[in-house]
Amino acid sequence: MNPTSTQTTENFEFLFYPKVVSGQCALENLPTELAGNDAQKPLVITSQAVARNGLTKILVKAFYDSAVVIGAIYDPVLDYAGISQAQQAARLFSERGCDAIIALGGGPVVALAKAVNVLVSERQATLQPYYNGTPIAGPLKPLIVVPSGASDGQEAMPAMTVDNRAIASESLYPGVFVLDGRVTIGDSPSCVAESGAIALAQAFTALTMEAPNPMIDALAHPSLDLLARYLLPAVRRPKDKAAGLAVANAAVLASAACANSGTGSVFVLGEALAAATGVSLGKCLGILLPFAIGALRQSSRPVRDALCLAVAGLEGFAAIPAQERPNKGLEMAAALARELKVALPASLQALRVQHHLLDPVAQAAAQKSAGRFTAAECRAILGRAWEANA
Amino acid sequence: MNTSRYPEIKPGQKWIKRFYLAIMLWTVGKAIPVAAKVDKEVKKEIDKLPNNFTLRLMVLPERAFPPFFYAKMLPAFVADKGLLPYGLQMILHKDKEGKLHYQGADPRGKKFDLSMAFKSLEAAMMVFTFRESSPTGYAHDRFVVEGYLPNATIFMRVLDIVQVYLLPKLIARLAVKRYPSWSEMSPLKKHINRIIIYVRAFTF
Repeated sequence: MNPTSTQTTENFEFLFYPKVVSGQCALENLPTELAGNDAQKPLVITSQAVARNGLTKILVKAFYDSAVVIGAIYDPVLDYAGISQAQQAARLFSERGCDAIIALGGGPVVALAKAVNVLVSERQATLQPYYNGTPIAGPLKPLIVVPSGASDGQEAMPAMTVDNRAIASESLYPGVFVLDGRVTIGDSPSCVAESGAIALAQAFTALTMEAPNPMIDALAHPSLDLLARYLLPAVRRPKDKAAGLAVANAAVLASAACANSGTGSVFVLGEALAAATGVSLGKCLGILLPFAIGALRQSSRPVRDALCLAVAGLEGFAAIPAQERPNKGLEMAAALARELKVALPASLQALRVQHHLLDPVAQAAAQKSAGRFTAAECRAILGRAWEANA
Repeated sequence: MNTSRYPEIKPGQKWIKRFYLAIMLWTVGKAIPVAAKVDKEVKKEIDKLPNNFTLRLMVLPERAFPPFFYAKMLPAFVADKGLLPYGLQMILHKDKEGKLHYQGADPRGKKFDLSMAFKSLEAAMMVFTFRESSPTGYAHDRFVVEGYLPNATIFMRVLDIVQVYLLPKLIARLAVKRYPSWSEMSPLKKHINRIIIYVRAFTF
């Protein structure tokens, strides 16, 4: 038996809270899900981009012939979740007598919905106590997330980032995820590629973590499997409903796996780079991932066969000799990440990242990793990614 | 903040779909008691249900689909005969002697032993426009079942057979789990029973 295939089946913790409703006519299940949470007047929070694409109209139509009244559709969210908008939405929630929140969109929309939920459930005016470490007492109001094609990987996590400050609490898990092909279609190839890169990085991290456990594998494996089959078709045809739905499912699974496994080197590096340059996390991860996988191949760290099985599929896995599987898994994962170049810049240089920023970013990432990897390792990955030199 | 920029929204209604579903539920509801008399398979399945048993098939949420106004105007014993499609419910009652009766769409004053509900109008449309067969819809969580689950599976098998009688083969193949072969149901028997069911169910 390959020693790298063994899993730790003792000493682990795992929590996966959100209920996932996915498929055809999933949006029409919203009234039933609200009724299941004893709610009948939701506040819908969404972004201007989502409203422009007509997705709010699809959502409203899903409530036809139900006993639900929509309290309001709050849609001024751009690409940033701020406390002032959270306070406005919380006031709207209270004035209209709403009893649940629906977040239609990804990234900042979900973060804002979580912030509003904390404000209205905990009866607070600001989030300041929680930044200072006060735990969220919970339980919060029902929160239903309807993700669109754009995701930042935090939707299914027990965390939110408001005003660039993160708050983590188990109470922040959304109650229900509703994934419908009419909503999960992408805006553009780059939007799908960015969401896919984040999901790929999360699933890859969860499958290559040092202390694996079967529960995380149960989420990360189908996620990577779906991404291997559907990510490129979704990038090439962003309006393909089946591919968009598969990528959205993979993103939720990867996000939930990552919430339990913790973030790996590539994710920490991507976050540090995004914070230093202001470039989106998806673009940073899309560029960094092939080079981070390359660095892992060169290192002596053992990689399990599970990665190869997820990326190659059962037939491909069976055709690869046992001793080559770890290396082949990394190779195929890197090839999958490299194929995102059809919609993303090929290097940090092409992204116009200043070369002098690489050292501080490497140091920030090494500091954030709490000793799991060194600044020199991070700098080597960043250097290769800057020149696009594998 | 000007809250009038974000108005309250009362979602509308899909009248054509509601009307279509009311007709379908009424048709199936009227046909099942007759099928229980003419088809041995259906009778065998119905016999497995306990006597004095009431079941209903409906679309959720109940409050959004009250019986049509004329059902409320009529006395209960007239509405219970199910002379016209009254709403998005189909109530069947097996009496003390084991006979099955269609009781219209008015749930007032009735106690249900088995309640099967489509989660939404669209879920019901998926099944009744035959884009999904009823067993597939059941597997895709389109229903909520309240009651004893084996009784619900009995009802699904009955629904399967009745759909074979009511629908032409081309459509019935989409609606049922597996269309019966000649050895299971001869075409002659099928056509004779189909005529009997249509005549007895809809000649009042």
